[in-house]
Amino acid sequence: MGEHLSPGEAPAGAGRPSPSLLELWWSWLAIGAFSLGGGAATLLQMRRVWVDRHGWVSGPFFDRAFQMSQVVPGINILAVAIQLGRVSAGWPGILVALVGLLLPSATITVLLTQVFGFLQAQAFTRAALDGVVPATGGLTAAVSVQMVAAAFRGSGRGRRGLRDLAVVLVCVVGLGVFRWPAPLILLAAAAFGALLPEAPPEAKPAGPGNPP
Amino acid sequence: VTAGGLFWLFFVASLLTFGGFGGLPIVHQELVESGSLSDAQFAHALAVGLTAPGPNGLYIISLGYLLGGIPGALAATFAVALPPFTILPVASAYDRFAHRPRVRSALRHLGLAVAGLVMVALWSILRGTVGGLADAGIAFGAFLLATRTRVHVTVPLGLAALAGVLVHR
Repeated sequence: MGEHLSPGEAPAGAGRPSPSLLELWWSWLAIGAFSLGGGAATLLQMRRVWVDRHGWVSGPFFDRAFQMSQVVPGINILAVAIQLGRVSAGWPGILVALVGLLLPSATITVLLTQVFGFLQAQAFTRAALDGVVPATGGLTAAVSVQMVAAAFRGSGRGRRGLRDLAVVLVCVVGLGVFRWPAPLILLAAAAFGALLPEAPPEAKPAGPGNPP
Repeated sequence: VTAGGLFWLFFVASLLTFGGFGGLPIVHQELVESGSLSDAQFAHALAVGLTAPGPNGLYIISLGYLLGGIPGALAATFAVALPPFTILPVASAYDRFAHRPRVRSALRHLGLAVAGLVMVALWSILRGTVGGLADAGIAFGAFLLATRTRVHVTVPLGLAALAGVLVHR
């Protein structure tokens, strides 16, 4: 797969060894068990493991996977996990991704459901939770900065950059002020983009951080 | 409520909406307004979903457990896991057509729109999670640790829990 992808969006750098199913399984289990704090923490940890630590996919591929997950129904992060599983090992990779991610998180969710009332009644755990809540805001900000930077990659400073900024501002006002439906905004932006065809980016010369 | 009934409710709510919390109004209407759950139980499940590890939207598993025990939780897990599979035809189409200039541009603009929506969501989340100077300090510290270092995500969360104990207790 991926033969049409541009160099920057290829799943992984050339020469990267493919991860074994066992490696994938342990990495998903760890993400599912330890990414406390909701979607932002989970997405951040997925990027840490898949892009930064192992290089199993490239940063642009990860960003594109997240962007595409916004146009399909259901939990976005599961759609990202399905795409990562698909490029890593096909259907077995998808199965490992979903079971590995959901097994620990669903189990902990069930256990927490049983004891949450008790934990909330304890001053110590309530105070700890009160500290975790704003940290999830900070983690969401960290993920958001990465996503926004990824979207503006390739915008440049000329007319295209200004037009891209205008598109983002219209989307912000449309959702934040006028409460337009998010799927409608996404579809309208894609349709607008389809009216302005863009040539694929030139392949950059090979070098560190820019595999051939 | 049977496990099959829960599966169908959560599956439809997830299939018809976007994001982890998109199906919340449907689920709330079906379960709370019908009298199957109280508002307090619903809030309990939401709080658990926000606290537990993993993606947003797992509050549905907590609801499934509250209503149907382990079979209910399993039904909820399958119900939320299936709709994201619609990404597969989307990703295949992307692989086939991404080289075409119009498709490339459409996807780039989709990315720009996602950036806009992310900014709105961030503003809403920060307003909901940061309530004072101490909270702002914790949030900023977590942001710095996440963007300037490569520590595991449990480090900022663990330090935030410690700060919470020192500040709020």
